[in-house]
Amino acid sequence: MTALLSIRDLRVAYRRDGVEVAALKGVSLDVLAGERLAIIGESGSGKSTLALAVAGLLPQSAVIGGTIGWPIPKSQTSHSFAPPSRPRDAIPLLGRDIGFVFQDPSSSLDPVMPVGKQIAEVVRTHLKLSWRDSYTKAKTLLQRVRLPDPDSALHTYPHQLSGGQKQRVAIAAAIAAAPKILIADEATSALDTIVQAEIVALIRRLVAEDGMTLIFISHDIALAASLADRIAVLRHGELIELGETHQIIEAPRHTYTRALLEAHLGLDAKPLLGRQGASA
Amino acid sequence: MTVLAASSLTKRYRRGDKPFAAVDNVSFEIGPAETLALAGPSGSGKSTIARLVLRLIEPDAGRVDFEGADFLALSGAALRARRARIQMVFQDPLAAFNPRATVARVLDDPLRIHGIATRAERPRRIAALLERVGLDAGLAARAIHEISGGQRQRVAIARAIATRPSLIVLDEAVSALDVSVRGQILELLLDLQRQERIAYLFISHDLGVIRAVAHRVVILDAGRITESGDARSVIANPQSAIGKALVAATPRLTRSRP
Ligand SMILES: Nc1ncnc2c1ncn2[C@@H]1O[C@H](COP(=O)(O)OP(=O)(O)OP(=O)(O)O)[C@@H](O)[C@H]1O
Ligand SMILES: Nc1ncnc2c1ncn2[C@@H]1O[C@H](COP(=O)(O)OP(=O)(O)OP(=O)(O)O)[C@@H](O)[C@H]1O
Ligand SMILES: [Mg+2]
Ligand SMILES: [Mg+2]
Repeated sequence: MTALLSIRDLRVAYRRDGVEVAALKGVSLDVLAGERLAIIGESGSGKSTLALAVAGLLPQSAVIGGTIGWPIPKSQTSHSFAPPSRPRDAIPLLGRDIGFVFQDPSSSLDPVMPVGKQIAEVVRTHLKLSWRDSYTKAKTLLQRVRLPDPDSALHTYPHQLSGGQKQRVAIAAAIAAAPKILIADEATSALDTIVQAEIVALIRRLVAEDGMTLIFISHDIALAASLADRIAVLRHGELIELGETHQIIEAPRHTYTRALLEAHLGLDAKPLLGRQGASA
Repeated sequence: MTVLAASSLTKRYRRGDKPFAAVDNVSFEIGPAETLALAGPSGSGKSTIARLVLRLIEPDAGRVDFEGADFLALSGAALRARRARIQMVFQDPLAAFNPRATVARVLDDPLRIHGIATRAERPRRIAALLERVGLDAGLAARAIHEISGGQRQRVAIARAIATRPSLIVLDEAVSALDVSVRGQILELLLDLQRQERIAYLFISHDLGVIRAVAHRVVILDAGRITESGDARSVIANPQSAIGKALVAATPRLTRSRP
């Protein structure tokens, strides 16, 4: 497989109270075309920072170094974050080239706009279709994410939907312009287990149907393993391990990856509870 | 002997203009030093049961017996005394505390309000509580927003045990924590249970966690109990449709991928 994204020595620091705090300390990795890549690691390890950097969503104040190569069809350019300026076409465009799904769908959906219009807007902006065609496409998208009754769903507002339904709408909007890459940052973490499994199944199906590349961010190693071809493990802003899912799960090289695996409480893990404590 | 007995608890709310039962005729018991878990999909009524048991809301029907007394009939001083014996820890301790309050202040409150220690004794008590939950006594002077999520959850547990409760209600108390921190907090809870014989009503959407720490589990669906029993047996062999769905939806490390 060829690399769709080549991330080289990516460094990101945030400014907090006048001091720079490093969030990514020189991360290099290739995202392969068509793969499902999971990024895991504990809170604060830099997972979202990496996703936001790829999507061009980092705050203005962030200090960025290194390169994210995005080989576009005509010229295999890569752009550097270092000054002076970035060649515009070489930057993947959010919405058109990259779809982004956040943990909290409310943060990406407009509360006062019907969901059909929100999706149609993405279609219109990036695919340059008429409103009419954009709405037709929006309806198809709502069907694809299996929202019940897509015709009336077009006219509902986010607050009328459950958490899982809102996330389906957010996914529909993210893939509306047929992006090459779908980034899901903890997209199922706020959902209950059953809805989470449904959304993961949905993402798996959409990615397969459209041949999208998936970057799936999660703190849950088992969830990541259930979806990904490869897993990247971040810790304190560094990429400490990257490998095929089965290798990471069955033969982790890094002690930290092993610790993550051991801390996972699966349905076959050894219970922490000594039965002698029981009274009933 | 039971610490808590909930009998035929029912709580109705309105959805639009249709009334519905968020909790529907729910009964269960918890014994000393026992952990009873509540599991179920979002909206199945877990937090509503927690609030009913804590008497933060009143049921439409049913009763709660706590340490042998009719908890819902208590008032005044008798209620205050009994309240000290039933404590809570929620998912987000930041929401439960004033973020600018110091750790010492958060722990001082229950000791003062329930008259557990004199003003002179309290600093020593606070230091002992912090030590009990594995925190450095030096943390006492820090503001709640200046400590990590795991440390905050330890402070929440320290506050909960300050009044020597017989029952702690934990509503998604470890859900927001990293797995390594989560493991430490669960170990702490089990350790406290062994030493102080505290019972837990442990709410979680994560069957892996429930299986690791709970003696028994109650599975809820739309406000009703669909099945209950020994936690490991129920999770190994669920009988209800929702129990099966919850088990099937739990991510597995060993599952071979399609
Ligand atoms: N906008 C920001 N301003 C300042 N610091 C930030 C900002 N965003 C993130 N950070 C810091 O950068 C580091 C990496 O954060 P990031 O959000 O990438 O972690 P994460 O792995 O996504 O964590 P989580 O699992 O909690 O979402 C953390 O120390 C965080 O506090
Ligand atoms: N104050 C309220 N007014 C109206 N409806 C309520 C109120 N509190 C809860 N509900 C409803 O009661 C039902 C049960 O809610 P509850 O919060 O107990 O669920 P839960 O099992 O804790 O869910 P979750 O896993 O999402 O926390 C839901 O349908 C909820 O919308
Ligand atoms: Mg994040
Ligand atoms: Mg709840």
